[in-house]
Amino acid sequence: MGRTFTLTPEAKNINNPLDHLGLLLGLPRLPDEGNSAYRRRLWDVYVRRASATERGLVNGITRELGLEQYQAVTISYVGSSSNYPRVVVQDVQVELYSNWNLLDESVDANVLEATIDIYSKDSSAYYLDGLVAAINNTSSFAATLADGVEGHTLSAAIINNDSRAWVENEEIRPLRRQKLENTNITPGTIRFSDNIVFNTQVATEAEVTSAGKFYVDYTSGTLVVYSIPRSYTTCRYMYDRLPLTLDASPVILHEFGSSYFRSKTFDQILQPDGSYEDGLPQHEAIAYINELLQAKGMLWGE
Amino acid sequence: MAKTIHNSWVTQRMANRLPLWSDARQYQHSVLQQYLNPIGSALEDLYQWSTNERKNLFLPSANMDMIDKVYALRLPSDFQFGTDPYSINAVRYMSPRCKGIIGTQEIWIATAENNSLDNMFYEALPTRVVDLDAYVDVDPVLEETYLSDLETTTPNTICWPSRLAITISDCTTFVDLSRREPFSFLILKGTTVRDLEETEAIIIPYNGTFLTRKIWKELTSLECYGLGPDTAIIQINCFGFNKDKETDKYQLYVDVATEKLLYHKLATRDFMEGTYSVHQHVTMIANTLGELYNGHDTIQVVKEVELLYGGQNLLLNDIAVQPFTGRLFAIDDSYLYVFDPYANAPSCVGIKDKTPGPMLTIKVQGEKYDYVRGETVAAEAYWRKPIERIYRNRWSIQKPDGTIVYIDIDGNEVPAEDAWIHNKTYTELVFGPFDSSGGEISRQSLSYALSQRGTYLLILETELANGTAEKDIVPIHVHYKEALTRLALPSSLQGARGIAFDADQKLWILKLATGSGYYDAGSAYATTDRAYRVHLAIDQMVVDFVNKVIFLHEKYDSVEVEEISDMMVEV
Repeated sequence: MGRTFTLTPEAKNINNPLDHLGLLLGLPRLPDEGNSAYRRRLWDVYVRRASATERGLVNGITRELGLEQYQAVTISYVGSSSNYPRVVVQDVQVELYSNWNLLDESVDANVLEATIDIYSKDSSAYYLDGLVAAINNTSSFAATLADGVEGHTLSAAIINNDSRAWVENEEIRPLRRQKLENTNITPGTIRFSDNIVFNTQVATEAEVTSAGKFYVDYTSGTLVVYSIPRSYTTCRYMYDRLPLTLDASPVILHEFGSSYFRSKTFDQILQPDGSYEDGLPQHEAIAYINELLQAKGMLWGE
Repeated sequence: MAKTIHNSWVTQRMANRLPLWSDARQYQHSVLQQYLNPIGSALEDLYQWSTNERKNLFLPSANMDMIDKVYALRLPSDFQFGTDPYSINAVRYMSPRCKGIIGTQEIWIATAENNSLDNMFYEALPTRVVDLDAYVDVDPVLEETYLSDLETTTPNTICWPSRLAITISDCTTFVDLSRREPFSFLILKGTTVRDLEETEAIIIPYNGTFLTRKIWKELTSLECYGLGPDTAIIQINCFGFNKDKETDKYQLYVDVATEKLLYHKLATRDFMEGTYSVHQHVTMIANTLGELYNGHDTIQVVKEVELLYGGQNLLLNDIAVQPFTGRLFAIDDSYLYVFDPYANAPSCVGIKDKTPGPMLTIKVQGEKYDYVRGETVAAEAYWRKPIERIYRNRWSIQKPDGTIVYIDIDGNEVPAEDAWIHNKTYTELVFGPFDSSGGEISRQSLSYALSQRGTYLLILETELANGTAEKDIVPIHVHYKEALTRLALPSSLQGARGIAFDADQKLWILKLATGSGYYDAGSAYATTDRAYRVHLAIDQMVVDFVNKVIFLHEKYDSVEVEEISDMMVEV
């Protein structure tokens, strides 16, 4: 009898046409990654674009590490229909405005119903189930966990988002009556590239009786204008995306430049004018700073 | 790619360049078509390769079974390979014995054919069915719905991101004349696997099942154009289990005048021993798209093949075509079978005895040369060149087992000498045929029930008045197909009823919930139909004798590699 060896196999990738596409897209195959998983990541390149923005970095890093983004929480508005609600996820907190209206420029018109801390360990919303409970405790908003999402997931995994989104450059077709691509437009935000045809906004469709007058139904996104718009006319506006589904990523990214994040990681010193300035870094921030210093020879503050 | 010899559709396409009256065009066993068939088969393989390569340029259509990774075993530097003692001219190393260990399971690993990675990934047959212990409940995405209710019906959740199987039935019109391109189609809107909101239009030219090109995660709306009447029924499923027929993506049906799509279909046939499964190659009777759009979508069977394992007939529950290889995967309650997709060509060796250009030739009724066991072949003598008087002629048949039987004018098997049919008045330029009592009958024909599998030779011997003898021989084939392999289904999947491949080319097996549900292997009480995801393992290896590395197809916890000394080699 010959000798017998017990050996452990190790995975070895072999290039195929998918790797060629990966080269074109700058996304090499991960060790031991099969075709199906690699195809999903390659698709993701086109859908969740990587860039130097915070979202772009989350997209890129998540994908490069072979991780996946997922839908975590859906927030809907259950308050008065005459209000214009807004939900903002900003770094370390979720801001819930029961009324936020650009038409009315007085600050008091914007009613911030709740600010929920999703970063601090002592916050009840540190995990997603706590965040959902905290939102459901408000009178104007309701939240549900998405299917298959574990409630004991860090709330900080949620990616920054805003229920109000800007459309920068939507083409207006040469029609007297048409529907914009989005509904629930924020009043006062719509602007047109042609201020002759779109000169005077009127309150009802019946009032569009002479050149230059136009009417916008903010709820349905219907646009009525007296003169036929010229080609290449565009508009920009803000619209409401509630109910808003928040995406989350296992890659959590915070920016030291953000005052929201620094307020959670540095001692805050009250200034004579009532504002706060950063003091010494707290325990967690020290860990981050040391990690950064380890990765690259640099001095903190440079 | 194709290992069995089959009559390629490309051969007939080439022969169709000949005049319509030529024998070579009309007759698929003609010498010219036999000569063209190897070229046709090679072109067919090239077509298949180029189609597959083109698919690989795009992510949604790329082959997910492409070679992507292997598992390497690095052997110790002093590892000794045995040599083949019977190899005379050169030293030939033998692969070591390898045994993969997964938990408590021990699996022998064979060397891939030609010790080639290509063979291991693209040619090898699976050796194990592994239950991945993952299942989904397969509620239809859209229950059977009247077309009139389509736009008001909300589709159900899609249980697994997949190419949806859309089944249309009872439609009689497939045309929308209000459009510039007047075919009927269905528009799907929803979210695809890319997490994008997308739209897809599926052309529906006939009643049947159609797969979407996109891989859908969620459907939000459906609209149809040109389909009628309103009482026609549409159903959408996540997997293509138990499809009525499935398009053959690599072959066409080509006859002497037309080219049409070809489909695979699983059907049953009553044999003497009982009712068993057959694989049918079917096509539409309609020759033009116009006829199809008007609802004339009746199918015709062009070839039927008996399905066997170890010479025994099978009664199968479902069949699915594996993407890219085109292989047919089939299941019964306990086993998974793999079949070659082609119908074998008959052996034409026997026609070497044929006289070139005989005066009296065999004309097979309906130009039908493909049969299945139990069918009856009908042929008649055709006096092709009436320039010489015929003294007598005789029908005989060589069976696949080699025995020859002689058939008299009444269709009975008789001794050879009794089978001659005499021309009554051969001195005149008159040719019978005549019955046994000498009365003239209208046609001289042969009718014979085919009871064996394989190639039959129909033989017509003729003796002319000038004393010369001629022989015409026509092969016909009684089709059968042996499974390339049979794999036992894991105990948890026994009683399987359906089989399908998903968008990642992974195999799913369906188990039906009976009225009151069933207990599956995990004792979970199931009241809905369930699809189980399985892995088709290929326990093979390729040995790099120079660098002392073994490459495996499958992942094992560990592998026991045993040196083989020269004396132990079994040849």
